[in-house]
Amino acid sequence: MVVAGVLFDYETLRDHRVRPLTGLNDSKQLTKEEREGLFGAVVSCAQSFTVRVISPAEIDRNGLHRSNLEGMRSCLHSLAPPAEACLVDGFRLGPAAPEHLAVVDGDERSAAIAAASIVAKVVRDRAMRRMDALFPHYGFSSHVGYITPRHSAAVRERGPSEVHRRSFQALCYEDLVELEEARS
Amino acid sequence: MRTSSSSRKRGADAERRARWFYRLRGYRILESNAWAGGHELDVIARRGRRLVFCEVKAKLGEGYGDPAEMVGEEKQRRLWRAAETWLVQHPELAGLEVRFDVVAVTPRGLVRVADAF
Repeated sequence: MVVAGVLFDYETLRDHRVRPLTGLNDSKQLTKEEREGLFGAVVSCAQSFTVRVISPAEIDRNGLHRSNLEGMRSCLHSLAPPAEACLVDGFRLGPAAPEHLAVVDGDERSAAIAAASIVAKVVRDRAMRRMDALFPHYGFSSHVGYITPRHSAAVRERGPSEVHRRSFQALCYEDLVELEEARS
Repeated sequence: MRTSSSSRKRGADAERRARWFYRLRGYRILESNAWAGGHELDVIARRGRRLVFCEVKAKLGEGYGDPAEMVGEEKQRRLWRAAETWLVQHPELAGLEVRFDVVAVTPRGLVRVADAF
């Protein structure tokens, strides 16, 4: 899981510097290539940005939601200089996080959240492409983590790789005992 | 889009089975078919500090895949948005640990993928 935070300095974001960010408007309709382009724009406009990559083992230990909140908390803490106002996509992070405002539908309503979402998605896509090179049979670069019939078939055939989370209870994991028996 | 009455009934039956699945495991059903943020949350259940938003899928025949396959990127985004909106409407539950499950009811039985996305 990839979580990102972006810090903008609104004092210095003026005129030509802010123009590349106008493409953030409808981030969910962007193609992979357009996201890569915007990633460059965000990184050059932002005062600072931070990315947390949460391992499958950590998700197995803590669950998806808790790992996600912990990732966002850690992003807020690590932004330097500390942000004067923090916006978070969706859920509130509790008192352990710096003061923040949870925005429902954040990536449509806040440029900062949309920018952070671009950063997280691009880092995820790059990581999945690398994973695809390491474990070529699972199609990681095409489904980037969303379950597809082809991916389930690959897990059924080969079992999960070391980058799959073990706590996932999808049907394709149920045949693992048989698979282990057939191998031994 | 028109939904035939038989598929609506199948959906309602699947949701009823899903509710019982959670009840029998000690969950309390807080709401079902709740509309929030422009989307429907099929079952919302709570056990202790855990709050589960469950998407229920009814499947006919053997040609079904993994329940997790039935909820793609866009659907996940919608369910997230609905859950976020629902939680804003229920601030007393804001501190709970949230989980998204997918339940598929098939002729062979009920399959749950806990913490699906």
